[in-house]
Amino acid sequence: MGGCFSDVKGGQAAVGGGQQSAGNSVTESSGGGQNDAVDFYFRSHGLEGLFTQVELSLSASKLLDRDITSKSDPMVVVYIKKNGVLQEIGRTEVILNNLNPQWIQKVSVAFHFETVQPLIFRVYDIDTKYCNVPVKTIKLNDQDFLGEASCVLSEIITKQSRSLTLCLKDRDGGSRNLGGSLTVRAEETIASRSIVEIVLRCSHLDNKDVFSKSDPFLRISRVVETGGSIPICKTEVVKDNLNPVWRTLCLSMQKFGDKDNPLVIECFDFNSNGSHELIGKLQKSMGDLEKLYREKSGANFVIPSSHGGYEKVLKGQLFVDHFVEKTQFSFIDYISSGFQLNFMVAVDFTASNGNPYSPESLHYIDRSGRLNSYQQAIMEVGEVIQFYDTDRRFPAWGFGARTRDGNISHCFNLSTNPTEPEVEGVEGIMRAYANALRNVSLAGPTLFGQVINKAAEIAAHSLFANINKYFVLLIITDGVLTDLQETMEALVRASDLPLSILIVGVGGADFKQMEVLDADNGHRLESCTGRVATRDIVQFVSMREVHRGAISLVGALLEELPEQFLSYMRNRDIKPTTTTPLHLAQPYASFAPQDI
Amino acid sequence: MATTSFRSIEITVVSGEDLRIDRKPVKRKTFATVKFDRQSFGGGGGSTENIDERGGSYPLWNEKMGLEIPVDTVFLTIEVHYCSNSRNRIVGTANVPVSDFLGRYRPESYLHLLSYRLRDGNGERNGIVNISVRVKELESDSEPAIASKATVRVPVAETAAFCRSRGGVVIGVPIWSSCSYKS
Repeated sequence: MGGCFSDVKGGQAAVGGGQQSAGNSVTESSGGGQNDAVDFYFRSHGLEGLFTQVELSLSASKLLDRDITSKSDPMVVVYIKKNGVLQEIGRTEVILNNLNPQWIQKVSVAFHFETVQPLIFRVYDIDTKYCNVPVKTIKLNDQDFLGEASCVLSEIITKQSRSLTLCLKDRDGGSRNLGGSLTVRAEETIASRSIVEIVLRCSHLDNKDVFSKSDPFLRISRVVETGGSIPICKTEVVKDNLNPVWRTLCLSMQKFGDKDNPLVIECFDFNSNGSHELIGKLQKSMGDLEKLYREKSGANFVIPSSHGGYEKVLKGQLFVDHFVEKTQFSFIDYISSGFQLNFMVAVDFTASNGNPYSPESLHYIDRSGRLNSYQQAIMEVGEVIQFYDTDRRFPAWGFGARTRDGNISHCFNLSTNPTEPEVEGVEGIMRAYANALRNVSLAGPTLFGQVINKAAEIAAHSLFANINKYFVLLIITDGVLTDLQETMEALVRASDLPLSILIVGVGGADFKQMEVLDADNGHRLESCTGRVATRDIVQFVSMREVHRGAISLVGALLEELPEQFLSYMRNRDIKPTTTTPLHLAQPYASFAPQDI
Repeated sequence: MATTSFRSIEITVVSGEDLRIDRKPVKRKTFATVKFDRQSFGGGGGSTENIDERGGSYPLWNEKMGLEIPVDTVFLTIEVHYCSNSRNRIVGTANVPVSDFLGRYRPESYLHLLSYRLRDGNGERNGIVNISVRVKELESDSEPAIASKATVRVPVAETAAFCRSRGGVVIGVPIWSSCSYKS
């Protein structure tokens, strides 16, 4: 939920509270959470039971100090090495001014028992001007390198403590120690539908600041059996306030374990130099917090005394203003209860792809039968989407070509039938594509607006029949877009519909414009009339990156789709039709907010 | 006036994002009103849930209003105000084209989740407001529509009374005008 903060503010934002934003704003990505859509795909392709999902928690000590006036602002990027190529699997958040950080954001990885899975961890000092942007968009080349560590995933899992401490070394397997060490702890993730929404408040906190009042924030950590604790979330900083109320925290069972698992709740005074002063702490389980809520009583903070082992009880108290247990359905819950995904395909037939009779063209018609870039993309992407499509019938269009009647069309049927855009299966798309290529001549300009509006019309029309359909428009393009503003308008209008747009880029063009459309940098798309996209509905995948091995195709295609699907369903309170009865899931919802 | 046809809609001003005053994030408590045809609704006058008590630049209001809008209305205007002792200042306004939720191609009762850019008095971009709108299904003819109109208006009047009793200079005025319109 970052938003526009000036540099220090980046460090004051909440992390890991997974705010299922109450409004219709763009939901925070699951960040490091497992992607069940990808798992499901692999499992049904014969990989069932061969792996378990594990979560890596990272902490470091004695990191190099790269900043002159302050301390480093570290972030870890985790890679897995596959066939000699590094594939990024996740990033932690950036911690401000800290040489001994404990990151909250976890990195999730599938543990395959039978294969060797080398992991590489790179620690960077993030330039403060990047501290407020989503970590995914940070360009690592611009950051200071603090060291690298590597191990094999099974090394961590087989340790009794499930954790491993590694020395940070030079880049690319260099042997020189850079100073500092990184500790990786692995835990199996428990899939759970249960989440708790909780509002925490404190009163009479000690004042730690001289000229103003304390700037408190809470950090919640889960105590683990093997010793120590893992931070699971931190709240935003409330400035200059000794009786702070924080925003609603949404914690999944996956994060807090079970209701009896002890949690350490620490209250700190935020300090921009990174040394946050402990105001007080206490240990409570989720069950205890629920009890506090029902009894409307407070729990006193304690502070470890500087001498001797005893703890001093403080006047400051913690209250629970709101406590609701909810069931949060997963993507697979919806799909398996009869919700349907329907894919539509649009192929770029503009002249920027090159003459189809020249071998350099992305649309090259090879007599020997070798697939051109578009055919490759259709085949590879088609295999994944056909798995999730219910009836395997795809409306297929082309855009940006001069059709038989001599006019340039920005949305024509690929099939020979002018009234029926639907084709059957990936083979059907391939046939229709080859057919269209012979029958049209490439032209321009490249306009996405019309195909998006066409798809939106279909999605809107389906709402009359039922609410359990969700549409995905797949646009395969070389990425040179002429109508950026119109496309944005179409996307903004479509953001209110059960529709996602998956843009697959082929060829070697610069895909800057596509990245603008894929609103991952936190800027929501905006039309010229002032309407703003309700949610992010675009995902961009570059086939070039896929073929380079930097990302996996299935992972990339399905990276944001489940989240986009869920944001649509959850914001409208649409629930799967046949799962566990809901009345069991929300025992306290009835007397929730009005009691406050 | 009774002869013009109305559509009844249920509009919820859900939340605001990144609200600013003079470029700095808003710290005070805020509330929102919906206007059309120079009438104003909502505004959380007294009922505490409709003012964002925590204050700040990411408020949550969840203020639900039932409105009867004449079919020829083109825009609704959403105004975000901040509370202050002396006067209410408008943080920003957004114009919502009615066609965004009364357009073709959608079922009548569809829950629209919409977001708009707010602009301050100088027309500068300022934060975002999130709303949801549901259009009530049109009952057979105009007769039942008038009946529902009366029931819908009641809570508005309550809010207004409440707000005056709290003694705020607050938004009493625009809401009263809505009530006078009703009678």
